[in-house]
Amino acid sequence: MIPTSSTLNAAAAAFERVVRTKVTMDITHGGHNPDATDITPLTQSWSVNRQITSDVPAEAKLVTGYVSGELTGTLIGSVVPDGAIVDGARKWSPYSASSILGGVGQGITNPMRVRAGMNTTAGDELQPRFTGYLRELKVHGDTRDADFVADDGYSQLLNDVTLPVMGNSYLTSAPLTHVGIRPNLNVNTIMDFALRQNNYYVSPPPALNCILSVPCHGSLYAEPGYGALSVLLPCIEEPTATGVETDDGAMVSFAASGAFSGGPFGDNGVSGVSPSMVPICTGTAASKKDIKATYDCNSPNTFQDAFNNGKTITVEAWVYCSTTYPQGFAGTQPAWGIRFFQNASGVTGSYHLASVGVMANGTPYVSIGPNFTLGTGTQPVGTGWLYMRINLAFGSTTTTVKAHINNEAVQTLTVSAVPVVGGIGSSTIFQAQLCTNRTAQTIQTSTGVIVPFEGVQVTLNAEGAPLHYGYVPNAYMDASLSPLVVSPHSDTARDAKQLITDLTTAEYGQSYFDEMGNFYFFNRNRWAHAPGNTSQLTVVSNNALKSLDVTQSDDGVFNQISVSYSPYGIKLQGMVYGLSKLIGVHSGSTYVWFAHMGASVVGLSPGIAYQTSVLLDPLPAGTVTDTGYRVSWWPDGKKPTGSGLTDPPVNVAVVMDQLDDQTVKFTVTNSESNPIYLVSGSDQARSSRGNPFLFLFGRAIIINDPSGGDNTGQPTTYYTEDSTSIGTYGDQPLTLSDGNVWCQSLAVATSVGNDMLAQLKDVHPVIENVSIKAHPGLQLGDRITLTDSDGTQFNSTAVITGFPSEGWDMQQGGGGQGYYQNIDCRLGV
Amino acid sequence: MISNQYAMKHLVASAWTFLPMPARGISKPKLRIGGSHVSGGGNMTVDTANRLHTFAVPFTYLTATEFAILTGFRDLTGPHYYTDDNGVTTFNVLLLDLDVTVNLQTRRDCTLTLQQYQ
Repeated sequence: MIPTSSTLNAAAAAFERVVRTKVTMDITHGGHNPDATDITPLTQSWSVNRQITSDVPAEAKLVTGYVSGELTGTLIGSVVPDGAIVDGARKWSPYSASSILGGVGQGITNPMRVRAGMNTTAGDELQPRFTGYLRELKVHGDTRDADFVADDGYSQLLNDVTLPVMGNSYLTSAPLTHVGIRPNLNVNTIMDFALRQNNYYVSPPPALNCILSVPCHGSLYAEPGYGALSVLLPCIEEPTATGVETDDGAMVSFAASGAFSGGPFGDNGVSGVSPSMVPICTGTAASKKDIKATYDCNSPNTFQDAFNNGKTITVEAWVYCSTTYPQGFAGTQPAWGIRFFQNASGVTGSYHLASVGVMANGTPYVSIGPNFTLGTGTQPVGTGWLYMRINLAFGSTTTTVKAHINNEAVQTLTVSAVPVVGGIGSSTIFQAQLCTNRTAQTIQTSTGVIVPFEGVQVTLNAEGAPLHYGYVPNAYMDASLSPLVVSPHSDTARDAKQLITDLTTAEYGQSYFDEMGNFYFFNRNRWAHAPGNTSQLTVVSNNALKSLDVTQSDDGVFNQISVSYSPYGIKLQGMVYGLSKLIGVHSGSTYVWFAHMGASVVGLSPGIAYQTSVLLDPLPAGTVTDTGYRVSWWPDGKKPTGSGLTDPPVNVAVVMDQLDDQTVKFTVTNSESNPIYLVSGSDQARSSRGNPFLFLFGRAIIINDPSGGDNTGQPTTYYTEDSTSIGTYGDQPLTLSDGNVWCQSLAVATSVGNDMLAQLKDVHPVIENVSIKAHPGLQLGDRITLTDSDGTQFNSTAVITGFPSEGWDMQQGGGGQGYYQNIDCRLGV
Repeated sequence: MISNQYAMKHLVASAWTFLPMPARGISKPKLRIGGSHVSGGGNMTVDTANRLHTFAVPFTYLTATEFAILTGFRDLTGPHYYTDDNGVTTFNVLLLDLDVTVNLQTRRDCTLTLQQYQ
């Protein structure tokens, strides 16, 4: 429910109400502010429709689908200041010189908003009822008015989304050093990605000069009715009143094992200590690859640049600091931080550069380079979600530290410490790691940490006004209940609207745009736990409830449920490509070809080097242990015949470049003065000589075919039935999530199927067309109490699942419906 | 006699045009703009968006000058501002009707009907 004042609630409950509306629109070409121009005097009537579109019968209490809101209305003319008097047709026709919108095509897709409210004892109080975009304008020459249609934000999800192929890291215990693997991949991850492509942000968009953005999936502000702890956490556990609850809706997570040694974040300052935390952002200087939604660490203007060239780095995050320190932390023990780290692979050891974070009581924590740790500063006033902004300005021998907690400067000082960067080679890796202090934890769980945080951003910005303090998101998501195995390959970019509705369906949740135009995603538990489990409005038939239909029908019984799913799997590290043909390269030349691996591959072994190990004969796949190649002077692998030739040839380089998830480009450069061939040579077992030799190792994404084959692309089905119901109502089959690639595991399909069967095997009444005394604060998902003591005797709480119609119908003499509202409901669980 | 109280002007005009002094019988009813709904128990909720006046102003025994003032408004489609208290309160009105009677004695009467529109 939109928070409404007591005066508005009183005015809405009165018998005679003085109702108000406001209709606004941006009439400038390409405008984007729905509040720009007040067209209320030009609006005769409006009506809003918000109903669920779903493949699940209405009888399912488990309501799912997406709600596409539509606004319709009638526009008339009025007076313009220049003295010309125009009627509605002249005012709105694109052929009219005095058109408010301009010529043909103008104004279509411009944003608009309607509000409704009351004249109360405190003056006019209005609440938004619809925000959307003008889609259709029909001007009538005879009646001199115009009809319009506006659609909600779904109509503006216009940017197609090209998703990276990603695998879920819970499938492996190996360090996440490979491209394309993301911890705790789930529906939220994909939805957040799609929304960001369309300018909807759950957490702040990257600021200027951003070098790392961990968008996370949750909202920074409490969901209506959920209280302060309702904030959805990015990757770890969510504190609740009853303790710590696992939040599967993760974007990144920690899988560190055991307690760290050497400082709270493994940053005791001794170079050479290997990190035991999971890097969230990594890449070599050579590959410049990264996980989507993070940023390349090694390019110019990135971590390397910041730490190596003395720039200024700013870290922002929202961190939850409870009054009761979590899991045994003391107030002054560092709890959460982000650590910057150089792993100078092939050079020497590793280098701690800096880490910043907060202690359990909310005080900033900073360490810089090998020998400086700062844990002091002013403790912020109050606890809860704290906005943290720590700015490090590196000089040649000193670093200036400025810390903000919320909007308050709590630390400013200059210290004699700088990051000490190790040697930088082509394989140097700069990493950012999200850390929690497991050393200080008294309860160490296998899943890790307890310090919730949100929306981490690292920028190369100087100290200034806090960038994102007070950020208000325009998208909100419940934590997903559906883990994903992979984000699968798609030959074409995905339509954003279709993608979001598919994701919603896989979750059997609901997505919609609310009255202000913000995006909401509810998981399927939302309807079972409507805000606070308390009724937010009571509607009684004797004074507020106009009509109510209760329908029971055997049409709504389904007792044979099939849930199809695409059983994606990620194979263990293994051979994903083996060269099958003979390839020769002329002396002093370069040869390029493309390997099509036949399946999406994540975690491709990045290096490619000459393989010397002796292989069994013939060449079975399993005997090769890593990506590599061999070369020989002859196609049959014989020894060289010329004098002075090394065996095998040494001046040969094979460079691998993964072009996409299925294709690798090879470049073979032969700097010898004789031709070479990519075959096993005379240094190998005789029987394998002359066999083409180039293997790629990685983790192939496949669809497990129950019949035994791999990668057949065939979905499979979970089926469940209820024999008692079949005996009563006959066979009533229902197929769900047909062909939905986001329903990916038997576990998810089983959960959905069993939930659905429990809901649908018996007759359930459906409460529809409930006509109530309109209240301008009601929203989808609100719980209300309906009491129809005169008619149907219905007396229960119900959750609003749709607004079939809500509108404004005022007539001279008072013959219209007034400000009216019709709702669909599900019984409160 | 030209009044010093009743006046009209076009919405874009700067100066008021004073009307002749009206005769007896001015009516100024209010029209409710709104709707209503009746609950299951029979209670009515009345939604009112606005209350608008309809002005009916009769004039009798008009001089030629006075008559011209009134008929002059007939050529303008409006809307107009209308005041009956010398501009203290103004109403946005549409000219609904200007009913004119000229009899053989050259007596000129007319009734001005105005509808407040917002």
